[in-house]
Amino acid sequence: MRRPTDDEITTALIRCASEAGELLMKVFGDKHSFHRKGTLRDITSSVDLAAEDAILSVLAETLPGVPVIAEEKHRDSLGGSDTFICVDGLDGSVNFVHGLPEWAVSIGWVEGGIPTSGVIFSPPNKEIFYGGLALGTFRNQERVNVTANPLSNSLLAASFSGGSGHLEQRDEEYMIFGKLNDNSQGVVRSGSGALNLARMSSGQIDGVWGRNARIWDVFAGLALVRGAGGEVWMSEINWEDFSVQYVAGGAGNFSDLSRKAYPEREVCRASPCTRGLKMF
Amino acid sequence: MRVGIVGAGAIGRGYVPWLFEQGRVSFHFIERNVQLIEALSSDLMYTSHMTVEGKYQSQIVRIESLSSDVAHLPLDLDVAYVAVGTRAFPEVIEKFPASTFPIVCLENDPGVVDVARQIRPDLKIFFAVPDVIASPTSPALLRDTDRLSLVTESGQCFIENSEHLQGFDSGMTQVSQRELDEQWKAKLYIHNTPHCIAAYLGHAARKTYLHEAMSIQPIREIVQGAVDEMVQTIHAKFGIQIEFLQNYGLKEISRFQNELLCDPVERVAREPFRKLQPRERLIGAAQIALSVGVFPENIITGIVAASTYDHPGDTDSHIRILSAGMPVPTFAEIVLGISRDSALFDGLVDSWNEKTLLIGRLSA
Repeated sequence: MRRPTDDEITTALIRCASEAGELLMKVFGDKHSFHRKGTLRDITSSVDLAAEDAILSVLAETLPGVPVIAEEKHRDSLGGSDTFICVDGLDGSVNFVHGLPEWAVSIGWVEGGIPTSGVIFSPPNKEIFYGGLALGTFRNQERVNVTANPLSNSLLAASFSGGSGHLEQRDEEYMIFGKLNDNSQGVVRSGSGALNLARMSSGQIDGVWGRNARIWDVFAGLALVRGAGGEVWMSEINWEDFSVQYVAGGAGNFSDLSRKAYPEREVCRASPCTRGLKMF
Repeated sequence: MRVGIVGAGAIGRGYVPWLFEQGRVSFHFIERNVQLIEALSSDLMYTSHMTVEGKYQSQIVRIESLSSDVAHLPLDLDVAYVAVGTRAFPEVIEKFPASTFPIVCLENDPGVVDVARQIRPDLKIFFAVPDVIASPTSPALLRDTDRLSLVTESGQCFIENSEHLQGFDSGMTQVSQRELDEQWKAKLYIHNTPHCIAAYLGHAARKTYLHEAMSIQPIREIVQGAVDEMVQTIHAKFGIQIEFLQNYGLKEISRFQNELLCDPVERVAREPFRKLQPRERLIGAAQIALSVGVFPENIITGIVAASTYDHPGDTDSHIRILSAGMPVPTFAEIVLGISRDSALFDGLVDSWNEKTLLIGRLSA
């Protein structure tokens, strides 16, 4: 099967995100029933499923044969392939049901097991972030870049895992959150890991980290950060719950941020995979 | 006379020397493009060709001095012309040496002069409208004899009347503020809007030069339609005499077809996102047309053509990814910034498919 060009991949992902985004905007602000998947804030609703279905339908037409791993229900077998697509039809479901605009559609293209292209669409904010390693990263019309601010001048964002499988690590997560909050201009917890990374790629946020993040939440954003000149550390994927550990920063804060976000790890161990990305 | 020219592009290097009697002026250039400076430095002269009634007139322009830094501009000039683009203009003015000679702004926006006057109230800065198209390149035949040659049209340069310019032989036509404003509005809407539409359609038809695009009947008809829409719009909106505007329109169609000019499609079509800004020559023009009851059918064709511009080397080449990937309503709202409850939104969305088919047929 011919590999689609980077333009074709990005065009297809934009089409998917736009279709899902239009669908979500039609019901944004309505009352939605939801049910919990794990913790109190790990919820899903019928619109999550509808958005995912819309994306899968477009992917089947535009990028047929590429395995898809989606948040809600669709998990293709990779069959040994390290090229696949990560889909989160609605990242920030809690915000969505509360009528807050911090939610997005997030779709990432993964090649060689690492994210290389992505699209994050935030319809209420009228923002679409797209691109990646090959094209660079764009926000709407503009090409964007990460900042080079030192940690002390950085606005950071953190995401906590929504799943219930890592609750024993909460105390440590909160401690790190507090430490970084005190050593920077502050730490945002927006409720959307995808938007955290999108906003970092466009220089609005200076650094992001997340523990036990799900790949559908963050892979699109990690590709965008790399395309915008950022640096990313990422763990191997835990295939049992599709989680990764990651930290993303710019030239001015990456070293300090990664040391503080993952004090237990030797994150400075040099094992670069490709431009802008290192593996734990 | 001693004349400074800041920005050695098509207007600065090609057109400005024709404002003066040949051989009686020394030209002092400031240019930031290092490669161009190197090229000009080797001979310190180049050829500027002017198209007059279907033929070229030519002159050798000798360069007295050349620098990359505007601060190095001689202080004993009689006049300086600045043609660097609206984005770079404020920075150039900020660094301008303290001087008493008139500084003539040849940018496409009188607003930048207001900004410049605030930045440097000590300088005498004037807004002028050169009523020409100048091309930064020339046909191969002319380049063979001088690789730095370039081509300009013959045309007047209008400048506002001022006591500071009394008795000053600038080669320009001094007019009242009202006349200058009319010239400016005519250029902004009756020149700029159809000009870029011709370029986007020319690109779709895979043409290199604007006159080649204008030789295709459907393109000529759309461009003529855009001229007519703008003539009606400007007349209704600003009360400018219809005869003046119609004559301006006829002149524009004629100059777009000027095959001696070799105006590159790629140059005119560059940076489509800039031209698609809400107040710019496409969407801005269409909104004004709608506001006075003129439906901008042909300008909408231009908006679609600009949105699907697919030149891989362009700064804004990612526009093709967005327009291909997004549903038209989403693209119009999110990317073009057109409100969903506007008439332009409806007009664009309703006719998008028809327009893309029409544009697609141009490449067949």
